Amino acid sequence: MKKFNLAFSLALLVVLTSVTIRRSVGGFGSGAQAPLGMIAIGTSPVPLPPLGSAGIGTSPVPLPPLGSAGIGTSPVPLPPLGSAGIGTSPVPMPPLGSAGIGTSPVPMPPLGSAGIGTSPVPMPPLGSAGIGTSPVPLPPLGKAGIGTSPVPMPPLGSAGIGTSPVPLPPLS
Amino acid sequence: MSDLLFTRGLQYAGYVVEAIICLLLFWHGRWKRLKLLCMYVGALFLLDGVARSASFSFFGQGSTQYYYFYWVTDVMLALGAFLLVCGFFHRACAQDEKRWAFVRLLLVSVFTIVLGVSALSLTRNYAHLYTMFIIEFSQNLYFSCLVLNTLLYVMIQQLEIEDDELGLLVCGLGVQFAGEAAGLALVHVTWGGAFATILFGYLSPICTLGMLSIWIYAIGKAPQEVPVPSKLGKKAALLEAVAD
Repeated sequence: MKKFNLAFSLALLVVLTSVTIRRSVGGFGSGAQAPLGMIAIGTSPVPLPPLGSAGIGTSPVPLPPLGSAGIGTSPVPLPPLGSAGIGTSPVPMPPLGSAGIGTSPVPMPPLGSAGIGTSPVPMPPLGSAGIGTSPVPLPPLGKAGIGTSPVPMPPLGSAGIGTSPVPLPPLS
Repeated sequence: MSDLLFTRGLQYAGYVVEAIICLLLFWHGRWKRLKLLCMYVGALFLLDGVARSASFSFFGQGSTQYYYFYWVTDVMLALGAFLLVCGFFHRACAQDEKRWAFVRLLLVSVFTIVLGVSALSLTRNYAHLYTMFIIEFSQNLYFSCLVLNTLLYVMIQQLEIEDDELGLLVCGLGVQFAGEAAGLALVHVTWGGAFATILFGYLSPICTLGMLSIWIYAIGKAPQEVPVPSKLGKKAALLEAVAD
C-alpha cells in the first residue's frame, strides 16, 4: 500500500510537471504555418487549421452577441430613450423661456423696460434745477437726440437752490 | 519556392530514413532483440510515411480531412511513444524485478492520470467530444513522455547502467520530445516572432530526422552489450581484476 501511494504520488508529480510545461511553452495560439501550441511526431507537413477557427480544436468559435461589448453573456440593458442622465427617473424639462435655477417659472420682465422694477424710468428735467437735496438724475448715457438742434447746454451762471452738484451736460 | 523545396526535402528525407531503419532492424534479425522499437518504427513508417503522405497527396494540406487524419494518427504515434518509453524502462530495470514492479505501477498511474486530466477538458464543452479529447490526450501524453524520458535518462546515469544502445535510444527519443518543446518555448519567449514561428514550422521534421539518425547509429554502430546493472558490473570487473 505504501509503495502504491508513493508510485501514485510520483505519477501525479510527473503529470503535473508535464501539464505545467505544456501550459508554459504553448499557452497561446495564432495564425501560423503550424498550429502553435501543438507538437506532432513525424516528418509530414503539419496540416493548416480549418478556416474560421483559430483555437485548438476544429469546432467553430461561437460568435459574440451582436451589439454588445460587455463582459458576460447577459444582454446589455438599453438606456431609456430620450434621457441621458444617471438614474432611471425621467429628467424634468426646464420651463420654456427661462434660464434660472429652480423649476418655478421665472417672472418675465415687462417688455420695453430695462430697469429694475416696473415703474418707468423718470427722465431728468433738462434745463431745470431741481428743488431739494436729492441728486439730479443723470440722463441716460449715449443717448442721441433726434433732430439737428444742438444739445442744450446747462444754463451757465445760474445758481440753483440747494447743495446738490449741478448736473453735467449729456455726453454727445 | 525555396521554402517549399526545403519542406518537401525534409518530408521525403524522413520517409527514406524511416524505411532505412525498418530495413536495418530486419537485417540479421535485429528485430528479435528490439521488438518494441521495431513495432514503433514500423508504425511510424506506415502512418507517417505511407498513410499521411497518401492523405496529403489526395486531400491537400489545407483540407479538413487531412487535418483530422493527421491528428488521429498523431494520437496513435503518441501512444506508441509512451509504450516505447515503457519498454525502455523495462529494459533499464531488467535485472531488478522489484524496481520494475514499482516503475510499472508508476507508468500505469501516469497513463491513468493523463487520461483523467484529458477527460477534464471535456467538461468545458461536451460538443467537442471527439476533437477536443483527442488533441488534449495527445498533447498531454506527449509532454508526459518528455518528462518520463528525462527521468529515464537520469535513472540510467544514476544507476550507471552500462547499456550504450539503450542510452542512445533514449537520447534519440529525447531529441524528438525536448527539441520541439524547446522550439515551442522559443516561440513563446519571442511572443510569436516571425523567425521563431518559421523555425518552429521546420522543427518537427528536423527533430524526427534527428531521432531517427541517432537510432540508426545506435542500431548499426553502437557496441552491443548485454545490459548489466552497475553493481553487478563492478563486481564482475573486480573479480576479473583479482583473477588477473
